[in-house]
Amino acid sequence: MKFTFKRTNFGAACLGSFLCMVILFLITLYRDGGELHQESCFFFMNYLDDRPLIDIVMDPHRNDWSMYQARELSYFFDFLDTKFVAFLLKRQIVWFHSICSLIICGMMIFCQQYFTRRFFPKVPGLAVTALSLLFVLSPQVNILNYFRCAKYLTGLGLWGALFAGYAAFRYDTERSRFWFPASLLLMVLSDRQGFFFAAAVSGTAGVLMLCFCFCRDFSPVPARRLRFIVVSSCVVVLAGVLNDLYFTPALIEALNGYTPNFAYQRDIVFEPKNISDGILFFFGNAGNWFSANSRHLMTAAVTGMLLAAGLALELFVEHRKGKRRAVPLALLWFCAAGASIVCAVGMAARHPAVMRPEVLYGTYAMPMMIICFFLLTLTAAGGTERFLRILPVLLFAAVALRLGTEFAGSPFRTEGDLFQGYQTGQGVLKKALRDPKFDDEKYCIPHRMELFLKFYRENVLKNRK
Amino acid sequence: MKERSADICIGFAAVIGIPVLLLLQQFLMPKNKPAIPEHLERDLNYRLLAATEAGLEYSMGKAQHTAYAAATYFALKRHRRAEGWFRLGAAEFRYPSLMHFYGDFLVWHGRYREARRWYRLALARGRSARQARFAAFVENKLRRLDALEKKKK
Repeated sequence: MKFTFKRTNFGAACLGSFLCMVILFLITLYRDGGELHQESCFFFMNYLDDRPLIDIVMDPHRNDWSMYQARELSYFFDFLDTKFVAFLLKRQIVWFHSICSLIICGMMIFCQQYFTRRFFPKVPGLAVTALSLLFVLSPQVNILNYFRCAKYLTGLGLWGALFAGYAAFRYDTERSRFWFPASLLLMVLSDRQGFFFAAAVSGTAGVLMLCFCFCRDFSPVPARRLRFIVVSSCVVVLAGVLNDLYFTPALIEALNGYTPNFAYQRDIVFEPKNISDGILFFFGNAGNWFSANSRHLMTAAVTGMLLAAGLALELFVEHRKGKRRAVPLALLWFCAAGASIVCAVGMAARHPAVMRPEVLYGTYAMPMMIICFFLLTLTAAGGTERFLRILPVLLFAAVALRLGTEFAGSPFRTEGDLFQGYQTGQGVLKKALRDPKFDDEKYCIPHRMELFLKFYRENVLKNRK
Repeated sequence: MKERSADICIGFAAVIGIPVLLLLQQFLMPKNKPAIPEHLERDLNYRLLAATEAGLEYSMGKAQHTAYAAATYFALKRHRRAEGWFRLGAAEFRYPSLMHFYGDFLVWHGRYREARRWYRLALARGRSARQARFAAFVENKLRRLDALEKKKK
């Protein structure tokens, strides 16, 4: 099948993306410049160091506290973020948000808007926009802290891989055959989570391949298309492994003179508690897409269960009517939930801090959210007319619930809002940055912020003059 | 038939191969801890870092850590910053112990009137919390402050 460029799709996608970007921008304005993450105090000094760019980027010892994870690509974007923050600080504009993350968010929303309208024309435009709104209103996306871009890059790669994978499977276009492995490669090079989900995509494609070979319930498609998805994803995962083990360490050794420390990747101690933590992480975040406050998690759980029940009912009805897509879709949902929970269990084991309330609802859950939203679209695309009529209403109700609960508490909280120690000194720091004559010595600020201010005064402000 | 067999092989290779590849990756990672040169951040004072961050971050602003941060700055003769930390504990967190410490700090600086105010607040807090020994301790400090003021006059 050959595609023609549809101006209506493009215009509607642009309009929807613009609306979401305005909301994101307003959230950053509302936060009055955001908060400086305490780790970012050091990253700021590190990325502005007087060294060649390649040396700075290939230095996990300084960029990641020696926790080597083969995600050097994301450090390059962190470097750009730092340059932008410093550029604004020179003009006494305090804006501790990540510009790269904001741009990547825009690309993710446009990708979701445009390709959903293009590949799934049956899904109502209002439902597509409601999904985008749910996406930007959740803290997993709108936190936008000047800290790291790794999860946002993974998210962009995942949206790309899902749509390109669908296009390669359904329409077998030239472009999809390029963009599918390219998106997976972006995920693999951006973050360990991206690597995990690339592996999960290739495993799921393998399961689908076997099902297509053995089960009659799976509609016959040209095997060549599925073979391409399985083989290309496996090749990308293999490339990721080789990059992690050999290529990047060799580059680090050559440029910075040390072998990276694999301890963070290697030494994982699993405990039974990690399983319950992982399940709590996944469902807690799924609830958080609908409700901004943990007090409203019950409402969120009920809404989530209603949506899940609606989806299950839809698939059941389709199966009874003899539609052959119901079983593969159910299998995809099962694989997605399984991979997300396994990822959450792994994160809880390797980095127990993800279970702390100020981190739990952060960007860690974004890829899971993207997979669920894509599968929701995929399910809706072939849904019954009644389902397609109800879907926008349900999704806008979810958006209203999300906004209502957001404003019932303190709206659009940052990571630091839950963290008393983290907040100490933020106000003083902003005053000191906005007014060079401000005397911060009589206030209490953490030592890292002291160093940040000293560096800012000695380097950034001095260069301005 | 040949194509179907190839597809089955590829499917199994992906389903089994990917987890095996991930396990192999773990196995192939270097076991020894590499010697990474210690990176000394410019002007980093680990004593201050521990006092101002570890205490706050991991204890969520418990009284003893705030007092420790203030005392560290005091020991480093950075009295104005120390006062900031005392004020955080006394005025924002409203810890009676910090009110009392802040009073001591003010006495050291000869700011008796302000010191009296913080001692009195600490005393009131101690009494309302029915901590008789703490209240008696602060009362004693108040009496010594009276004596000190008389002596100055």
